[in-house]
Amino acid sequence: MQQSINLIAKSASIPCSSLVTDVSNSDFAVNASENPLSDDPLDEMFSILDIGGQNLSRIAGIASANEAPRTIVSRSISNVDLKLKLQFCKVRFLLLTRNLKQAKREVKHAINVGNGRDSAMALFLKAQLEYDRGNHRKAIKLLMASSNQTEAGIASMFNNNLGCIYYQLRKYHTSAVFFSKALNNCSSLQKDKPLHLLTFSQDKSLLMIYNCGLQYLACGKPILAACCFQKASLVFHKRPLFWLRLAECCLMALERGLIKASQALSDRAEVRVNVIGKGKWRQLVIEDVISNRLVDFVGKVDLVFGSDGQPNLSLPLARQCLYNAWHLLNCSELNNLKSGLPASLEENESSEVVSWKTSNQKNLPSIDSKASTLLVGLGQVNSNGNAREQKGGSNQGIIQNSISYYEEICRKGNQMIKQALLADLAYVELELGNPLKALSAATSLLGIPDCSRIYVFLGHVYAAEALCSLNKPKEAAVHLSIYLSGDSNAELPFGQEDFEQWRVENTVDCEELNEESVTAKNPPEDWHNLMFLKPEEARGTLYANLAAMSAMLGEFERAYHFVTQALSLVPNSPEATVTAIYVDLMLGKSQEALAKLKQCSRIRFLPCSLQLNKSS
Amino acid sequence: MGKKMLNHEEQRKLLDLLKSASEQRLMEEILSEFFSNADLRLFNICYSLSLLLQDKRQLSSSERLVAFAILHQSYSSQKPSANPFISFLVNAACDDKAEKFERAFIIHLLGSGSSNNSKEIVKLSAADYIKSFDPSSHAFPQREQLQQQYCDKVHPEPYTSTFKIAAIRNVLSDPDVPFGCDANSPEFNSQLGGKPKLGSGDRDEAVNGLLANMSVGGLSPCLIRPIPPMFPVDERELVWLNPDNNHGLQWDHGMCADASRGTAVRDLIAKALKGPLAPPLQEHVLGELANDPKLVYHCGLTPRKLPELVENNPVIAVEVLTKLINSPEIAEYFTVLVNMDMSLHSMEVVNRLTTAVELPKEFVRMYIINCISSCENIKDRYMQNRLVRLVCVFLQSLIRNRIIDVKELFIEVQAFCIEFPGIREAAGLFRLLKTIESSS
Repeated sequence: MQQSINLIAKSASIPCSSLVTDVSNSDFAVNASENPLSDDPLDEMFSILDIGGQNLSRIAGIASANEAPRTIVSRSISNVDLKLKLQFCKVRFLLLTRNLKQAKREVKHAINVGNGRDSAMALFLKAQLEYDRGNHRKAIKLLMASSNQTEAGIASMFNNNLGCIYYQLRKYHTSAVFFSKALNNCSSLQKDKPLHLLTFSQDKSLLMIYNCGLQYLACGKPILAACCFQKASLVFHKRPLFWLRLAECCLMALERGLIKASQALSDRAEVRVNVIGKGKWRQLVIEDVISNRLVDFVGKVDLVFGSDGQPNLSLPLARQCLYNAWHLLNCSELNNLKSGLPASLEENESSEVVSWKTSNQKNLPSIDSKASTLLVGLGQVNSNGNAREQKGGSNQGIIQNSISYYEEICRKGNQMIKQALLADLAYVELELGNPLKALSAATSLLGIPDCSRIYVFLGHVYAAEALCSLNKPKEAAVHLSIYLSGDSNAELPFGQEDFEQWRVENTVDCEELNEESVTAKNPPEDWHNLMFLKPEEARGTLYANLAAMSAMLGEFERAYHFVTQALSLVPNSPEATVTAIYVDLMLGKSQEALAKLKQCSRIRFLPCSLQLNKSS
Repeated sequence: MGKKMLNHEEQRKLLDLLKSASEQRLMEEILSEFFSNADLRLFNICYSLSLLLQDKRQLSSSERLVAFAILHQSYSSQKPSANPFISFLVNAACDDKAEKFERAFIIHLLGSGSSNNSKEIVKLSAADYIKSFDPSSHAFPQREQLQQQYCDKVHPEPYTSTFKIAAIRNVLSDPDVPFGCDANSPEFNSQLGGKPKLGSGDRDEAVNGLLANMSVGGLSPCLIRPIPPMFPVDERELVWLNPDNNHGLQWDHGMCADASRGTAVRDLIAKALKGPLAPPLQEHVLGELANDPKLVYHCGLTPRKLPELVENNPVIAVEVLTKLINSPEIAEYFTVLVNMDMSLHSMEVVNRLTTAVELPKEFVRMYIINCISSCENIKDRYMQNRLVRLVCVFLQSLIRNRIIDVKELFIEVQAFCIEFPGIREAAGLFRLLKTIESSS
């Protein structure tokens, strides 16, 4: 019996060593053979596994000597595969935590270790790295190089990733084509085979549908976007950003007049004038812009999706979504605080109780924060396992650094979401005619430390309007006059650079960016302007609102000055035009008022209906 | 669309009212006819009239008088200060640019609330009143005096926003007349039967239109409410997909598969604790244990029961302990094994174990010391002889198989051999010790 064990050991050692020589050109293998007690925990893990294998073989040898050699051979082959898989995991971890510099190093390493194996995976990861670094062209090339796009699963991911890249290149229609291709691949995958467990466990279609939703939102199709988000909610409902996007669908639908029983903002964005009488008796009746704004919401609010499957986008739904997002953000913040503390059993229990009490949903804490605590846990196990001291720059350190770095990114990201969310909420409450709630949202927004200047501007504008509705025009004026230098000149509330900052804050290592990526980072100027006011327009808005408030306070000369400034910056604004006409009338300049009304480009003259004559 | 102030019925009634005012009818008659319509919304009608009255050209003098009378009479059952249009009336009464007869008429109306006898003025037709008006007989009190008199109590106003309070009349007059012409000249009045002239228009038509399009809100300053921007989509929000490890699920066929097999072995083990098993049964147990490495954990054996198994079925005990060698309980089993009474079977078990697995040195040492002391303590000579021989053979086997290092136990074993000089196996062991000692 003793002899047979020896034999097994010998036969086991042969394939092992031959494989090691196979990959000996990689420093990984050299490390393992020359320096068995290297600093690399991965290597250590492998050596432990090898020892374990031998132990097992000895025991197995007693039980059934004949089977043992085969099992050991297969085990030693999978060692390199395992090494590669672990290396891939490492790269993915680094990409997830946005440690791009380290990820670049490790992806090279992975390609060396793999030595041609699993090249698709390596290329995908490399493409993702370039995508994250903003080298979109390079990412496309790498994706194209991955050979087996014939397999439906791979093809769908390939198309999805191309969709992501084209989205970032702002070619939304191209990205739409790729996303729909990706989804087609997915559905063919589900049709072709008989029901197979992997088809379900590997199904990525919901993730792609979320991408689709984002793309529809970018193309200005809020209802289609909402349909996508509804499907994707199965996966994404715990993410605050998801709910913010759904709220944005509602806002966009409102803007485009797609909300039932409401008037499109585009309709509201003009002065409507009824022309009455003829000749010397001709009169112009200006319709009330403010009362046009109040939208009636009589319909059911609780149903997100109507019986026809069409999303029932509404402002109350937007508000509900924003509250969900707010709740989730607060939960994850609470959780991050908790994860930093040594978790005793009692604490765990109490936090669970809290999450049960505060919501109906189970397991509210976000996925991300859970993953990070898990990783921290792993790190601790590692450090306990190794009694030896770790040098700086070791895996242990990289993991810890990456995690803390990633947590910082998440925290910042959540702060950004919070700003957008509160701005949206203040806007929605104003639209719904709840100035008090709008005011509290705007005040919270202004209270966020390091708030983006864009959102500070919105916060002040919304707060001012809410205060006006609450009959506190003086307090309202304070919000706007902080932008006044001197008595009558408004500053730019934000600059073009604020738009850049808004985006770039998330990016990490920019040290090796080549020219291509720099151009990619600075998208065409007109892009932001499609989405929001230019800085000059924002200043015009400030002037217009300052004029309206001065007029309300009876300071008509001041209002006249402001509104003149406003009309020079935002000549097409109906609100500014109406205020200007009002001010002119109050100053007794009715001819000027008429002239302004006729100069306004956003005006619609409506012939008056004279059915009365017939009836009388 | 803003909310319309008047419905069709109200518009029609109001127009009839204004038309009849131009006729030679008594104002009293017109008013009572008008107020006989119970379903009119008086506030809306009064508000519309007040808007029309603000432009002095819009209504004829007699129409204006009737309109003022309506504004007043609609609320005459209450105190003057409860009339929502009281300040409008007071202002009109104090308007220096207005016709004197109009101001006098309003003052008269205001006064009529307190003294019943002054209702006589409505008993005229509007035209007659104007004709018979004598400006010298009227004194016009100061605004402050009127305000004090009629707006005495400040009414708590229902809540309205600043914007609504600031709202003004949203009608702009925009005469469409040839450039340079005076819009007020009578040449542009429409002539019956005549061909419509450029710039001419019908006043009644304009009044109709105004009444039809009057809305509740007026013109007020307007705030811009910018739509919040879409939150930027960063690279991370779009989901990038990488091929996953295709970890399939592996079915554990042993799990819950055949519970009966376990129970059969459990029954056999329970029997094996009480007496030796017949060889086929023993073979069966060994086979089952070999087939399923996890079965040993479910066979019902505990450390306390081990001595019985060792005494009755040493072969099974060896197999079970071999399987349990990596389990955490093995130490407990060893402790029990060391402390149980010495016997042929226990020694056989240990001997077999030493060849099958690597036993802890400390355990083997303890066991040997136990064996030696057991031999010394036995009173029965025959049994002692037997046991000593057994121990000697056992030790020789351990030494030959290099399970133990003799040097560690040299003194104990030598003393043991010397103590029993009459036993052949002891002498053999002693010789073995000597040869090992001399060779090293």
